[in-house]
Amino acid sequence: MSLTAEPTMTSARADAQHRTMPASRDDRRLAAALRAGDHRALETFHARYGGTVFGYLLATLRERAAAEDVFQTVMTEVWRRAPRYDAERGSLATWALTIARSRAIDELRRRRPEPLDPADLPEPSNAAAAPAPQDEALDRWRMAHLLAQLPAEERRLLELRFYAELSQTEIAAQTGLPLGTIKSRMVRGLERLRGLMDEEGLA
Amino acid sequence: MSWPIAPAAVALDALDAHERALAERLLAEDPTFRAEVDRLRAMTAALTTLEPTAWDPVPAPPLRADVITAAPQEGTARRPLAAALRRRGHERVRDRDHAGGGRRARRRPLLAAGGLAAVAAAVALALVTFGGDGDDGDGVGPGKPGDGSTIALRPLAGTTGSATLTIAGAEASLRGSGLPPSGAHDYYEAWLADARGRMVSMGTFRVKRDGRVDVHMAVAVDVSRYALVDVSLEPDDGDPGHSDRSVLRADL
Repeated sequence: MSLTAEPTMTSARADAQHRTMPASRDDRRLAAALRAGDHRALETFHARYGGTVFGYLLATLRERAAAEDVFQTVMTEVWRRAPRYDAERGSLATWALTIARSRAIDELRRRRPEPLDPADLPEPSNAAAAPAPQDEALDRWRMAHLLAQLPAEERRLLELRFYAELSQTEIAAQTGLPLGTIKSRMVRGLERLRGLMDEEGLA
Repeated sequence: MSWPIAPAAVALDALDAHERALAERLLAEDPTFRAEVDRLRAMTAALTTLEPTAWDPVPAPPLRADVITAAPQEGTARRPLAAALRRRGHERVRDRDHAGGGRRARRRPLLAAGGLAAVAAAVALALVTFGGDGDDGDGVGPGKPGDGSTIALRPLAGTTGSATLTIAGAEASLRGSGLPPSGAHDYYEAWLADARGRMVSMGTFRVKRDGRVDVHMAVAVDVSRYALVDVSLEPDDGDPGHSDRSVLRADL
């Protein structure tokens, strides 16, 4: 998929491929409160973005205890680095996921046995052409965060279609909803998700 | 761009035979329509790659207490909570730093304090009228928001429009009509206020020319602790405080 990467990525590949969108007003308000040292703002941040960040860490690290440890490190970093967050460069979700990505890479590197066999390193040309697995995961979780903002009914129908891989007829049979309702709600959900992706700057 | 067939319906293959024929013609003849369908198809392809926990989120671990205490913020001394409240307009600004920031920097908090007083008065009236205290979290009963019930928001004096707010769990939906369209430099904001006049923003939204709004907002707080919902018109000036321009209101 061709979603944008985080605004703080510095690689030439990332800069060339991705555009960024300024943060929403909600993000700016929350960032202002974090910068002001408002502890409640961190709780709001945790409630709003914690699930996405933790889900990303769990999926990347595949070990709950490590994900929980790294999650606390990420939240500490969010609090500590809040004055440096630049709302012009992207949303708070993207910023938090970027921090999570860095700390997840640290954790994965820590696990890797040393020394590395040079034969295991990717070819430089391939490395420039293909996004790192962590980048792809980051994009998926940016999308997951937007998905969580859809009304529950629309999200549920998209889940049945694209995760459970049911046909629309099967969804109608399972939910008891008329086929026309299924279709119109799925269309509305996809259109709403598209709007959110536009706001987020996800291509 | 408006088409007789929604591109999302094409991407989802949610068409009957007649619509499919029309869609095929549009795909062949209209490059903009085709590009939109391609983009939506890329989205649906991306949806198939999401991890199970992206669809059914795992709750994040609780925030550890030492996250804040062990880590002062970079580049600034950590301000006490009172400073944050002052920024939100809960207290008059007396700091020389703030006063020296120019007339505009000082005026907004004072206005916001006025707005807070108006909201606090409304809260007090609501408590007298309905007898709840709204702050102890014990008053949740039938019809209390959070259980999926719908609340009607009424226009305040000198304003127009109406809206309903439905709060179900961590999700709120606000539907309204007859509201003045928001301009290029302002927007609407929904607030919750508790019995002590403390306010928390639920989210912001815009109203188009038709005066209608249908927005969904995440609710990150325990709504049962709040006594009133308020919708205000806010200037886009970066000030996170209430503007003192309330448009709609309802008791919770």
